[in-house]
Amino acid sequence: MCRALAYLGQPVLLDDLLYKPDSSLIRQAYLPQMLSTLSLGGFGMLAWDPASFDPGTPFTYRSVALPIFDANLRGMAQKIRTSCLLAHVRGVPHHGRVTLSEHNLHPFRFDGVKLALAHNGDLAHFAQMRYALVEHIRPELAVHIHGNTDTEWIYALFLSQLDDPGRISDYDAVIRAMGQTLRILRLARERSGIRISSAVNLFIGDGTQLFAVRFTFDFGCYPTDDLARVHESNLAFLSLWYTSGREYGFYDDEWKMIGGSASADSVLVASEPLTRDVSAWREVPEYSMLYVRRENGVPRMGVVELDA
Amino acid sequence: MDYRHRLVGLLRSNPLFQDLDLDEIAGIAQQMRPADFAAGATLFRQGAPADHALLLAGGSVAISTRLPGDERVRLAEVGPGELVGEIALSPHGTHSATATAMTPVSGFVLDNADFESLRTQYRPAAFKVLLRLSLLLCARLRRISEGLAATLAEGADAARPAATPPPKGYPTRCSAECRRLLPILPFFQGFAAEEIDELVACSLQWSLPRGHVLFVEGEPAASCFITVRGAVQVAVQRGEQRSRLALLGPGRLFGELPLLDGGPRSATVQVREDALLLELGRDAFDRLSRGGTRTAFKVLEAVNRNLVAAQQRAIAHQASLVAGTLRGG
Repeated sequence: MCRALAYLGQPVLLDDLLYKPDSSLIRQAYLPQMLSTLSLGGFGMLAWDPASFDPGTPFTYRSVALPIFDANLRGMAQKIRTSCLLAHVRGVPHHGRVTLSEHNLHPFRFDGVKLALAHNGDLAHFAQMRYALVEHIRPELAVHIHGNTDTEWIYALFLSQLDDPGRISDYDAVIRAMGQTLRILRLARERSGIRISSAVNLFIGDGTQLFAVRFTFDFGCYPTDDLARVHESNLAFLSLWYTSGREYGFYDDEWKMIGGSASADSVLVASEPLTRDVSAWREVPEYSMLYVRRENGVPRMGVVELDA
Repeated sequence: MDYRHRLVGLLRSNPLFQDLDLDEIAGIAQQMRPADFAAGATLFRQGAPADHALLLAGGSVAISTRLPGDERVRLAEVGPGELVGEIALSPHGTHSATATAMTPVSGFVLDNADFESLRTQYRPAAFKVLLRLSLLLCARLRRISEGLAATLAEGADAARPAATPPPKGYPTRCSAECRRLLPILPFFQGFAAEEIDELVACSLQWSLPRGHVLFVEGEPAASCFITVRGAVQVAVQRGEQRSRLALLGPGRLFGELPLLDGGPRSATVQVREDALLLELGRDAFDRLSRGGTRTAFKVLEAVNRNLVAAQQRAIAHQASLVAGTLRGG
């Protein structure tokens, strides 16, 4: 399983999100608190910086190197501030069918498209259902699929449900597109006879809005042929946490959001909290989508249930 | 000697220890030690391992929960005679809130390790306390779900959904295939094979499709359930409005509150993903959870683990709604 984080709010140094907290994303890559094992397949991130040239286009970094040993990433993290970040540590299963490649690193963002997406989870037996999705993916988007992950197909399928993925989409259009995406995936799984729990926790952003999906198809339907191989993720709903406030930083000896949540303008979402003290974090409810949209320039956060 | 006398008096008047005889009270008192805290001191912190409970003898303690944005919501204020941090009486728990001394506080500490020694020796005193703990947790959960339902009821159609008629052919006896799955489930953690068999012998099996409404809030109850495979959703619902309390996957117990406290169903349960369930009737549940046997200890501990987790979820949900951090729409 992977680990991921998303941030939207006041500009912060990447270092403060990726490295400094006591359970930062980079530390989670080798010492996760809420997973027993994590085998690494690389790191990727998209960081939007409003002060940069062409602020609507994010800074992009991907490397199959282990992030803890990646001096380039560390160096950049100490220099770049971001107002919106999608970052992802890829976890891969232990078998020879996995392709370690930059093409398979999240977050995905096709050329000419605004929304980017990272995935924490795994669609079981994806090879069996993949081609049932083709009819739902627009050809002009399908040509951008270069890797062989389930995530890139989910991304293309999701974009295909939007009227114009080349423009910033309204938050309600994004929510509708996600609902439709999940319904198509559920139907494709049913037609292929796939009834094993499959998590699709998604992190989606375009620099101005943020969306986080906590969803598992057939949750609780673990494989029954070999019980010794039932994985923790088959028995527990894959985690997704968030926290919010006016400002993120190091206060009173801990990394946290301050300033209250009622007028929050910064939101942090992650596979697991960035701090070992999880008391100021909340779980995104299961089968739900957290959104952060701007209303008259002010971020507004909410949660909608996904019925798919 | 003086403090022992005072301690025994406090224990006897606390509801958690009300079923214990004098010898048992004295045995518990022997495990406890006096402790004092200055005003402003943190007695325990939300999220920290629950390694001790504190029986208050003097002073006042605020119970609060933390929210995103570093805000705090005060859940309660407690004083002399009350036990705080009682989650420590259930193994491997974490505190669901923070306790802070509002004035100088004095009290008596019961360490988890000391109570565990009574538990692991299957002492009747520990059993009686665990049974009372389950009732305490039930009462709290009912208060929280009633509070959530009240927020929904404002301006909403008070109609509740109807239960789905049972499918033909069910329930059946627990099959060998279903029995094979049980040891990997969290509920049966620590159970020996023969203890699982004892529970299975008085259980029935259901296989229910997604969307099936198993039971509805307010109904009388005759049984509880364990999810073996798949998942169910626990919610309070008024008309189109719904507040989900929990999503319970494999190895989770639900519907046990009425069997413990005699009340009606506290929430509505609907199958979220095709589910295989074990049903345990009231008589069997009473026999298994109150008999004072080793199996009863394990069932009661599993019940309390489940209730503690439910309480943590409910408090987090309630606090989020209070602070307005989750808005629908």
